[in-house]
Amino acid sequence: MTSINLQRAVWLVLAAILSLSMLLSQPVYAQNSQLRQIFGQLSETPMVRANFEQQKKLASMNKTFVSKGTVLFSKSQGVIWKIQNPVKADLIVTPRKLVQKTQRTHSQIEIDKSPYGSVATMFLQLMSGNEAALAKNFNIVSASYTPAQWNVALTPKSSLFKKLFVRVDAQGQRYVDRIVIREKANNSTTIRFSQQTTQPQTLTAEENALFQLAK
Amino acid sequence: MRFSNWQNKFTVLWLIVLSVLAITLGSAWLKKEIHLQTNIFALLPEANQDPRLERAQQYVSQQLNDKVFVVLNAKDDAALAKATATFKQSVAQSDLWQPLNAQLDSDKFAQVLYQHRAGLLTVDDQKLLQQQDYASLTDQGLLQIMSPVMPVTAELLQQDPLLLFPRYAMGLSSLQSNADITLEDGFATIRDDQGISRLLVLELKNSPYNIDYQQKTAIWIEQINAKLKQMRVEPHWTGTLLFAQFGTTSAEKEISTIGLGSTLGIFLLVLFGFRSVRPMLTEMIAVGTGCLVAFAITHWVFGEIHLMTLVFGASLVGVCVDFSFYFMAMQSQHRHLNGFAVLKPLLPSLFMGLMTTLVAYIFLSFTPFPGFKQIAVFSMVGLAAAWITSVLLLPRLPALNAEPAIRSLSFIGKARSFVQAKNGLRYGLIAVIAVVAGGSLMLLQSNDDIRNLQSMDQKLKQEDQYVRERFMQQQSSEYFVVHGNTAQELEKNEQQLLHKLQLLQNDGALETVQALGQWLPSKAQQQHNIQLLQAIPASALQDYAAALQLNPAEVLAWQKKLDEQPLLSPAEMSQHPLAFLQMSPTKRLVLLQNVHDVAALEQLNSPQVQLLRPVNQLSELFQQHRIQAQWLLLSALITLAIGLGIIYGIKSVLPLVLPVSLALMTTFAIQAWLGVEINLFSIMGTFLIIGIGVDYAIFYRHGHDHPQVVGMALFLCMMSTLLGFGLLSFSHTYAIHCFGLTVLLGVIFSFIYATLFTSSDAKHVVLQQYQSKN
Repeated sequence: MTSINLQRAVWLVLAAILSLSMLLSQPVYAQNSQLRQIFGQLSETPMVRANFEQQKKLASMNKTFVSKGTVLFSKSQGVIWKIQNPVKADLIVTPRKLVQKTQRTHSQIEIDKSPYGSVATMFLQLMSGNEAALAKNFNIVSASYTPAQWNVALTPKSSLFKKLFVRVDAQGQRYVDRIVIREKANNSTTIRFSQQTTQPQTLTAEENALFQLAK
Repeated sequence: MRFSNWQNKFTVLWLIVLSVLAITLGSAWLKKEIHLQTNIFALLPEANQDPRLERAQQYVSQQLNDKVFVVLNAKDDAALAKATATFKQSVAQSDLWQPLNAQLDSDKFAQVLYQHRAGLLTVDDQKLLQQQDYASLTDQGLLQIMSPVMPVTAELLQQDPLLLFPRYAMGLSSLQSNADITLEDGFATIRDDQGISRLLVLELKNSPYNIDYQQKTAIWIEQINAKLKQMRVEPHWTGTLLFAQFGTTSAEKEISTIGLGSTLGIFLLVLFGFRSVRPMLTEMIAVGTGCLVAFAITHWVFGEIHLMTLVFGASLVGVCVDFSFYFMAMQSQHRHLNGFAVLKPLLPSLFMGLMTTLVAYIFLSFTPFPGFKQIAVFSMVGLAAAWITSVLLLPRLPALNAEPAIRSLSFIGKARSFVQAKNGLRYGLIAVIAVVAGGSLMLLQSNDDIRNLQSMDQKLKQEDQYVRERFMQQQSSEYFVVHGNTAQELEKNEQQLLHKLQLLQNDGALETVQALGQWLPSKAQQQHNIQLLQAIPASALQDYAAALQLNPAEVLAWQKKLDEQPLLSPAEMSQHPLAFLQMSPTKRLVLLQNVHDVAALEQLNSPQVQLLRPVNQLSELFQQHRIQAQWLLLSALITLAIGLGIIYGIKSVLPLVLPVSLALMTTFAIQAWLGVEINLFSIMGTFLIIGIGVDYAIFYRHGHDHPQVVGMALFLCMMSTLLGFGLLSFSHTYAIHCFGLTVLLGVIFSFIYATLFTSSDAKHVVLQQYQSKN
């Protein structure tokens, strides 16, 4: 039974994705010059909006769950995932809190009061382009860069992350286009980003309010 | 030997008494009937009046104190495996530790929880069910199933289609400290950029305060550390045992260095005073017989004797026997007389000197500290016995040469005569001292925090910090004891307390709470939760199944089977690290961490729920005892004044009691100026001072016709007390330092004030009695 792994649920996972997208948009001075080029390119934009479509494949059930929505990444504030389908829900991730909000429910986790804190602080290290922190938690299996397309493959190092996933592949051009997370039990999650834009460059009142929730 | 005179009769009688006691003690020793107590805690008074709380406190301190935590840091797996094997083997081979148990496997524990999941719901889910907001429940399920990384399987969706358990487990995981800890070979292990660390928890087989056990474990630890070093594995140790070991060894080290210093000092002092080392030998004989008798009587009264009683008691006896200096100085001045003839006129003063000290110790025995009671009884008996030995032994020995010392120290007598001759100067000085010292007493601060009493080694502290940061949360010193008449009532009371604590936690009154109830919802709660789940209408479940693409029949089947599932009970929790919080079926503990607002927590007190703060309670107890001891001190002074008044007449009271009173005032005034905060041990030191200080005054009072001899003898006495006890003020152990500093200052000023201010009684003559014998 895999019950213990189940506890690392929604939050963590989305936080992991957040970290990756943030990581990839920061100037991380990795030893690999290819990586440096990738990060250099991504770090140019302080704020990105995009549509996303996520496919979650459950191997044992032979089923795929699809969800769609928009995502806002702000270098200074954090990430807002606005899931529109099949459930309407907002997920706000900042260095301090993880907040989940649906029409009727609201729940939050304070990062320093939960074991996910260690994960979250690790993300912060990653976000700040800490090469040592990257090396601490991930092995970079491969990285390639051409102006037309880049690819990065990472495997987890820490025991907590190893429980969560096997491997992460990310690819993109100017922005991140696709993240594939290969999980335990042959499950996988693919997130595709489309219509990425850097406009508008300021937060809307609603977005600002959402970030305030996770202050 | 002639039996006609009193001294020989007494000597024979005394030798018989001593022989009988020696034989009795010797045979008791051989029969192993002597109980030597080494547990420091036996010296402390009981903290609580309520026996229920007393038990809880003992239970907790046992649980927290009886463990030693070891972190092994290794560079690679091979070294770690080898170190672990060596460690296991050493533990198994020695009989110092309980068998090394594997720690709780959180994966296995999660499985146990999963098997008993039916009644386990998060608070949020309970709320949704109560409000019959089944649509939100569906939303939660959908959000969860869509999350990347989550290993949802067909089996899980069949057994827990609402995905309630993953949510519950995530809520629990926020109670755990470090998610990076995994269990390898049964031991918590962390792998990160700092290397590989493994936590081993040793359980003691004996009290950590048992000195013998401390020594044995210290040797064992040293040996294993050496072995680990060879394997290039770095160990970090912490636990009450380590701190207690440090306390004992540092105290021993100090006792031996201070002891060496004082022995050497007294040796030189005696050599200076009498041009002979014989006084040291006679003093050893006197103290030896005193201790023999004291040991027998104390053991008979208390049924056991504490090691600290022996150490302290023996030195107290030694200090007070110094008054034999007075006799020897006198004898040296009257060489032509028989020793007993020299003694006879001095005997009343020497006897009163003994009595005043005994009175001071009687008051010391009124304190509720079992340790001080024992020390008081030991000292009183020992002192009396040593006194008898000295009186019967010393006059038989030839006179020593004290003349050079009397001459060198004649300035004391001159200073005394100078001040005594000028009444204006004397009264002026007394007034100034009384006003200045009395005024300074207002500035005196007290501090009874028992945490000050621990002498803390910086390295031990760092090790402790390291182990805790790497593997654990901070250890709490405050906790609630929850009672219930039945197990159900207990669970209910605990849940109510936890609910209130949650609110206080949100207000920031405290940081975290550790309770069994967080992991083990009450039976009633679990049953209620199952009822809530059973109440979900079939239509809502069918909607849910449709949204999650599940088979509706399976979801409905899950609901039907709910009441067949087992509930989580204390039995399943027995392997959990917090299982010890269940003291008995009707008593549980709730641990608190980082309390910021004690008043808010105290308001939660009720007959069934009590807040215990052992450190603070013990500090408060020390404060109460200090205040009580201050009153005892005052009573002792008044009793002495009355007693001396009855014996020597009302006029003698002031000259005899004033110097020591002024000395006590000055002692504390100086401590106030130095910013020293006084505590119980400072006050305990004063009992020694009043015993000795009054003696100084008595000898001066009755030394009208030989002030030079008295001055010299008392100077030697004072120096000997300083060397014996004053040196303790250099101790790094705070309690001993406070005691020593008070004695140091008190004895010096008692001597100075008695020398300058105690007017002698002209009617009391000694030398004439010698002359009449000529």
